[in-house]
Formats: sequence, C-alpha cells, structure tokens
Amino acid sequence: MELKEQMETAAERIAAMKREIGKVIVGQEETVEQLLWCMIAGGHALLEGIPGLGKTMLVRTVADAVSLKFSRIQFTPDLMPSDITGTTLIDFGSQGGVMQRFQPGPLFGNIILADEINRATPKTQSALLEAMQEGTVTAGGETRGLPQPFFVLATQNPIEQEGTYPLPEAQLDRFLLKIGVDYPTREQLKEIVRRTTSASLPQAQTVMDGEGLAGLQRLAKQILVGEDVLELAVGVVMMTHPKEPSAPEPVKRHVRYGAGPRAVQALVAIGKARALCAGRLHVSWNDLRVAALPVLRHRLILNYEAQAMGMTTDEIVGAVADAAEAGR
Amino acid sequence: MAKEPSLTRLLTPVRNRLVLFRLLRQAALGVAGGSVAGAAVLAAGRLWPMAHAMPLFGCAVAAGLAAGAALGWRRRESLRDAARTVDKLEAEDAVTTALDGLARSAGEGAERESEIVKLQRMDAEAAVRRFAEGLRTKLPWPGWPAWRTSVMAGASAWVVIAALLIAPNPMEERAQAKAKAAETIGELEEKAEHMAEAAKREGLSGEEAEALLQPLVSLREALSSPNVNFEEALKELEAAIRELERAAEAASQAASRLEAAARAMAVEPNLRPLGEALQARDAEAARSAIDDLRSRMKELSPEERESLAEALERLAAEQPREAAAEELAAALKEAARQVRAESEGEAEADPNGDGLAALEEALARALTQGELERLAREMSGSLAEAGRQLAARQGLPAPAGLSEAGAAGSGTATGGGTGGQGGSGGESGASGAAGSGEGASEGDSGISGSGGSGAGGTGSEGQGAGGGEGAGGGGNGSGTGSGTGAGGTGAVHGQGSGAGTGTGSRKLVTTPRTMEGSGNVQRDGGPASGGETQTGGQSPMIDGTTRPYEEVYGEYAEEAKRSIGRSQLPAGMQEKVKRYFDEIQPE
Repeated sequence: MELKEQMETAAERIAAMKREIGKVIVGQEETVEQLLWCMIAGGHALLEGIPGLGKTMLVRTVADAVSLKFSRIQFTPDLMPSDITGTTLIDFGSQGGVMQRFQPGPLFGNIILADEINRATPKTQSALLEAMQEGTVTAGGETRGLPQPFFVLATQNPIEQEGTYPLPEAQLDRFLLKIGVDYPTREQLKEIVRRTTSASLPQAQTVMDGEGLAGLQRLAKQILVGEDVLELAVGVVMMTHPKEPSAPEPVKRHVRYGAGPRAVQALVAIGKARALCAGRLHVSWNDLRVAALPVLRHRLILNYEAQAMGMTTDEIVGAVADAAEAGR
Repeated sequence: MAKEPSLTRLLTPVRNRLVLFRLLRQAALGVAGGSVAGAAVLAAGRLWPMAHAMPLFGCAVAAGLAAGAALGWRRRESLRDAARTVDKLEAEDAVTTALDGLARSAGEGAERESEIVKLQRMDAEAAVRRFAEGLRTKLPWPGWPAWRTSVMAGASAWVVIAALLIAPNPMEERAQAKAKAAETIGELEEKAEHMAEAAKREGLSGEEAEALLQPLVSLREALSSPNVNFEEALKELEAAIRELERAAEAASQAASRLEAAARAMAVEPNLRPLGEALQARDAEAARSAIDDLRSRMKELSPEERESLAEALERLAAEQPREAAAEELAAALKEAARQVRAESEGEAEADPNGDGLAALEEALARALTQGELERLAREMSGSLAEAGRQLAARQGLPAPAGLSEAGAAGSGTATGGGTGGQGGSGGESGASGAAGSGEGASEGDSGISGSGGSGAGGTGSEGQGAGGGEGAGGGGNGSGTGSGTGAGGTGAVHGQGSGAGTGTGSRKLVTTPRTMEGSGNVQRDGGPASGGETQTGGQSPMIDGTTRPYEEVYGEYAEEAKRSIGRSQLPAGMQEKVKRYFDEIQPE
C-alpha cells in the first residue's frame, strides 16, 4: 500500500476511534485526543483527576474500540508485586504429579488500567517499572515478555494525601504523558446523565485491532521532523533547566530539577502522533507546543518556594512554551 | 546546469520581498541615525567654529543611509528565512522541513529519497504557491509600529536640523576665517619647504645651511602638528623670522668685516690683487690672487716679506674680538706666520702646513656670507608676508616681528618721559629687524604716565626711526610704539607694540590691611572641671527592642501553627515548618 493510502487509512481509523469513544465518553475531547497520541506513540499515560470524572470508563472504552486484551488493577496498599506480575503455583496434576506452573498476573494484557496507582506501596509500584520500560516481567527467576502492544494507563487522585505513596520521579518519567482530566461542562454533564440513566448504555464498537494500531505506530515513526522543529523541541526541554541561560524567569526561580532526555523523545514522539492525527507528514511547532504540557508537567520538580506559593508545573510549562514561541 | 528545485524557485519572490522590507527599514534607521549625527554636527558648529559643518552634515546623513542599506544587505534574508516566514504565517513548518529534506536528498542522491519526503515536499510546494499567489496581502508592508522608531527619530532630528539651518550661526564667520587660515598655514608650510630646498641648492656649507634651515625645520614641525592654532602658528613664524634675521645680521656683519679687510688689503702693494678681488666679491679671483702670492713669495726680498707679514698681522689685529671674526683673524695670523717662515727658510719644515691655504679657505667662506644674508633676508621677507596674510585672515593683530618688514632696517630709539608720572614705555617697536628703544620717565604722581618717544638710529644698510608711547603706574608700565624703517632695498612702514620698563617715584603707597579686625574679644572655655556629668537613669530606648527568647519563641511558634492550619501548605512544607520550630525551641 502506498504511503498516501496508508495516511488516508490511518486518518479514517483515528476518526473512527474518536467517534466510537465519543459514543461513550461525553466531552473530554482533549483527554481522548491525548490518550490516542500516547497509544500511537507507544507510550504509557498517567491520568490525573478527582474521582468520578470517567477515567476508568475512558480507558475501558479505548480498549473496547481497539479490540485489545484489557486488564484492570485496582491498586491498594496491600497489593503485592506478585499480584500484578503473576506467581508460580504448585500444580497437582490429575495423575498425582507435582509441577510448578506460572500463573500470569493482570500485567499480561495489552491495555492495563492501573487504577489509583498512588495507593500501592512503592514496592508494588516499582514492579511496574520493568514492565513499562522493558515490556517484560521477571518472576521466579524467569523473564517473560509481555504481549504487544502494551500500554499502562494509570490513574491517580490528586487530592487525597493520607495513605498514598506519591510516585517516585523515576517512575513518573516513564509515563509518556500525564493527562489531566477536568470537570465536564454543564451541557456535557446533562448529556452524561441522559446517557447513563437511560435503558440502554452506549457501547463502543471495535474499529481497530492490535495490528492496525501497530500500523499506526509504524506510520507515526515515519513522520518528518525538520531541523528547526527539532531545535525547538530541544530548546523547550533545555529551558526547563534552571541553570540554562535561556530559561525563563519562572524556571530560574521555581524549578529545582528540569526535564531529562526522555522529555525530548516524548515531545517529538507525541508531535509525530499529533501530526499523523492531523493528516500531516511533518511535525510542526504547534504540535510541540500542544504536547509540551502533558509531556513536561510531571517531569519538572519545583523548589520549596514554588510549592509554598502553590505554583504548579503547568504554569511553568506555559512560561517555557511562551518563551520558546517568542524566541522562534 | 542543474535545474533549480521548484521549492526554492517558489520561495524566491517571498525572499525578495523580505529583503526589500529589510533594506528599506535599515535604510530608514540609517537615515534617522545619520540625521541625528548631522544635527549634532550642526549644533557643534554653533558652539565651536567648524569650517565644514554643512558638508559634514550632508556626509553624516549620506553615511547613515549608506550604512543602513549596507547593513540591511548584509543581513538580508536567505531562502530559509523566507521558508520560516511562510511557515509562521501559513505552512506550519512544512516548508523548512521540506528544505531539510531537499538538502538531505542533494547529499544522498535523489534516487534514495524516501516517498514521505517527496510527498511532504509536494505539500510544502503547494503551500508556498498559495502563499506566493497572495503575497501582497499575506506579506503586506510593515505596519506603523515597525517604522515608528526610525520615522520618529528621523522627524525629530529634521525638526532640529531645520531650526539649526534657519537660525543664523554666530560661529559661521569664525569658521570661514578658520578655514582660510588653515589654507594659509598649508601654503606657509609649502613655502617653508621650498625655502629649505632653495638653501640646499645654494650650496651653503653644512653649518651655515643648518643654521639657516633650523628655524624652517622648527616652523615646519610646528605647522605640521595636528593641533596647531593660529596664534601659535604666528608665534612660530615670528620666531623663525627672528632666527633668520639673526642669521642675516650675522652674515651682514661678516660681510662688513670682509669689506673692511678688503679695503685695507687694497692699500698694501702685495695684497692689492687680493683686496680688489675681495672688494669685487670674486671668489675665483681671490683664489688666484692667493696662488699668485704663494708663487711670488720666494721672489720677495726679506724686507718685502716682513712688510707683508706685518700687514697681515695688522689686518688680523683689526678684526673685532668676536667669535665670528676669529676664524679670519686666525687665518691672517697664520698667513703672516707662513710669510715669516718663508723668509727664515723654515717653510718646508713648518709643521702647521700652508697658512695661505687657510686664509684662502677663510676668505672663501667669508665671501659666501653675502649670499647667505641675501637668502636669509628673502626667506624672512617671504615668511613675514605669509604671516601677515594669516593674521589678516584671522583678524588677529600682526605680531611686531611680522610688521617689521623692513629688509635691513635697524636703529635705536631713545625716549624721554613726559609728564613725569609713571614708568615710561619706551620701546622701539620700530623699524627693521634690529630696532630697539628705551624710554625713561620720571613720575611724580605714580598714577599714570605717558612714555617717551624715540628716534631710531642707523643700521648697516638702512635707517630706522621709531617713536614709543607708554603708560605705567608705579615702577612698571606698558607702552605702544610706532616706527618707520628704511631698508636697504626699500622703505617699509611698520607698527609695533611692546612693553617697556620705566622708573618713577612712589609717593602714594597703599598699606596692606589685616583681616583680623579689632575689638574686645572674649573667650569662654567653660569650667576647669570640664562641666557636669550625669549618671544613672534610663536612656530613651524603644520599648521591646530586647525581649526574652522564650517569650518570642512562644509567639512565633503559635503564629506558625496558626498559619499551617490556615493555608493549604504542601504536606512536606508543613512537616518542615514543624521540624524547624522543634529545632529552635529553647528547651
């Protein structure tokens, strides 16, 4: 199939996915869009929002539309690593023989919903590290590959602090995007009520299989990035470093640690996914600008002064994007 | 020839328009800057006399324009800049990405170009084509904000320029005079150069040429200095003329001495040919006369030789006792000694050599003095003329040395006091180069006086008459003098001014006053004990400046707790605050 046809097919598939997700999820277009970029870029996403905004529903609907094996893990303080990776059982065969058998955990799926990930202990959270980075699980001294594609879509509740274990920076960095889930508008809220209180609940139809998603991922990797755009991507990440001369004033004053190299990779990868979704063959500055917030907001560590002042990383990323825009 | 890629061809009109905008913007800025500089030049022309303020103003504006345009051209937009502009306004980075792809393809070969690069370039070309079609609307002339700075600056500068051009410039006349004077100084320098060459051509001896050229060398150096001003130039000129006149006078005196010696030789039978040759100022004839005398020496009788030696010694004795005349006197003595040696037959063994040759040499040198004098006078006259022109153009009074244009006038003036008051200002200031005068008056009031007047004496080749007037108070006075001088070759009238000294009696004396004043002065040093000292009591300290730590801690800690409870501080911060107060608690 020629590239032009591939592009057209991709556009159709993406549009179909959005349409199917839209049947179930009211509003949240930006969140849905970002989730799709993340899947096309082959990364993991952290969804943050207060309870009841449809995070779990969104992830489940995406899994329905893509026809992939979906697993949900509800993270709790007593959840053990083996509960998610799997465990080795002693199997008494029908003929009286005893043998060890590995019972795969819920990580062995394509789309993993790690619900309220910050409720689990760091030990369990870190069990996700290998799976997220390497796509493998090691249990009982044996490393097993996870099915592809493999996405971890984690959710966390930002307001409850008691009994939670904030994700360490190393683990946060492994999430390609941190997607904020916001309140629905008045109209959207009415529509949610209408849909969820009627006799028939809407259901998303499968519009793409795993192979189709892998095709989208391959196509996204081909999208061109010009030197100027690449320079801008690097510039944006450099500007998050407080000691960088070109960094804007808020960064110099309020940021303790800036984003690392994974941030540039993530920016460009998300830029490519966004360009593909827009039917373009190249990444533009606008792609980077839009991607900057979900890519960078969990990669910056603010200093005490910023925390005391109640500043958020979103404001810092906004200042960085503005500075990069001005220097263009 | 390789075909130009379609993308770059499409981008060319965009780039050309951007280059045009930049050139105009930079040129406008340059004109504004040049106008400001030009206005500054015009303003400076009102504070200081500037000979070429207007041409400089024009140059500043033109230079600003040229510099602006040159800078604009130097920073002109490239194709990539044009691509960036299209990207920014319409194409969302498609064009720069396509240019990158094009550059990569040029490096790797078109056959290895991937399909996506080709497709993307086609998209970019379409975007540029659309942009170029509506170029005038999509890339309009820069708006007012882009021009504001340069237009406002330029307009302000031109308002100032108009005002400066309309209002009359008080310095203009001085500036013109300065320009003319500068021109004259240039001419003067050239003249000095020519004179130096002429002196060399005349074949003067090393010392003489050096003596004659030294003032010219100094003058040339002074005039070549970039900071030379007219007063200094005139002073230098005057000094040079004085030096030349001195050289001329010395030469004149030497010539006079030679003339006298020649006359004396002419009455001596054996020296007559030599005397006549010297009177005729014929160096060749003088040389042959000495040769003749040398060859005839053995034919002379002892008496004749003795007579000749005596004549030579007499001539030597008649020479004035001056350093300048010593050479000729010594040569004459040496010649006399040789003549005596001939008569005693010791000529062959004379260790001092040929005395007549020394005489020949001394006479030859003396004969050149007339030429030297003529040259020095000419130089002096020429410099004086140039100096007068310079002074006239500058509107400065011609210094006395320049006014005294008499070629060879000299004289002395004597002045008699009139009125008998302050000191007299008797001063020759009179004629020729060697005029000098003195005035003396006796005063009885000590308030003011008028100086004497004098008449110049006689000089070597001319006569000068000078009169001076002076006014002075007490023992010193100043005077002005006027005089006329008659030179050897012409009569020139000159005016001069000078300061003179005089004597007078002092009858009214102002005694110095002291500033102390007088009266009943009293001083009070206070009691010997040093005054009263109070101890004890309380100083007016501000209440609460020092308080017990426990008390302060309690208040602060309480306030901190309230703050933690009141605001939503991050958990980590709350803990930190608590820890801090735990650490600083007094117990």
